[in-house]
Amino acid sequence: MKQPVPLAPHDPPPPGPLLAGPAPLPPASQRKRTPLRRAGYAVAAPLIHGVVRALWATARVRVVVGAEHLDAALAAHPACVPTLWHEELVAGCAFLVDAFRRRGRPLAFLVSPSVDGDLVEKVVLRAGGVVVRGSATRNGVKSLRDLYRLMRKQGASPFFTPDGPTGPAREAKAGALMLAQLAGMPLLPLSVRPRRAWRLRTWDRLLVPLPFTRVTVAFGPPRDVPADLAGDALELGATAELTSELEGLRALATR
Amino acid sequence: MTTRQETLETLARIAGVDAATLAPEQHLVVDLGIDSPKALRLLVELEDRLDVEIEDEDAAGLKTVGDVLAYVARVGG
Repeated sequence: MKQPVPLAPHDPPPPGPLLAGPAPLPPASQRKRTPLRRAGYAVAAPLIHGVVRALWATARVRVVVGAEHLDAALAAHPACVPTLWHEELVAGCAFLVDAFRRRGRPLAFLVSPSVDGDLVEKVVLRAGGVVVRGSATRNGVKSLRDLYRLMRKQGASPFFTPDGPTGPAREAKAGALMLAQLAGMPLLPLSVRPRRAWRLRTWDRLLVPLPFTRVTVAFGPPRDVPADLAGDALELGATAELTSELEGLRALATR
Repeated sequence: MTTRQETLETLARIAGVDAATLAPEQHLVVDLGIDSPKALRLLVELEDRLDVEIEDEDAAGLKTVGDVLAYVARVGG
């Protein structure tokens, strides 16, 4: 059997992921921005926002661990990077939108540039959020830079799911850490668990809270990412620590 | 200070080397140790300095110091 030929010593190894260009593109949506679709979204966005707000208003939310950490992070910095697992996206969004609105601080969302993202953008804007259109798989590096600018210029805190957008579920990748490091602002790990929820058959087994559910929240302490943290220490060590911390918070919020 | 010199100073600071030692053929990853976080910072600083948005496809073409200088000369004058 033919053996692979090793690289000669002078052959440069492949460049790092950020300079290697975007990941292979997933199939692009075939949907078009038709006038009918725009009109439909204009009607649907306030309806969706209203339904979500009404449902969330029935939830009984209790912060069981680290209630002081969000205020501590925002007192010391213009913004932070709230970070939770993708499966908690729905309750996490609702909780953080409320929490940031009460504090008069903007919360930022990365929304797909696809046509479907237009609807999500309208809903997020209605909820008082700030939107960056981009995709972690299509233009992830540029999206990180756009989020960084929102943090620095508008003091917006970008909400991050470190196992998104496609998993594996509950295994952190380095994006949230790199963003916090670049901005010089802390990452804020948390878990937001509805007691009663639908579990969708998606890769993340997304939790959709049921009306009148109890929701338990656990915050970890704000985590500064040192400017000189790099290489395996960042991409393996720190991501493993983040995974472990989010799993610990998940366990606390599930009790 | 010219845009080229400023770019070299930026590269040197991020890579943690003396700007005088930089050469166009040096590979950003192999020779200067520009890993993902440093690359992100380099792109942000270049964008701020040049007042442009660098697309990921353009960033993928920046493999050497010479590539960065050529890009800066092309878009930043």
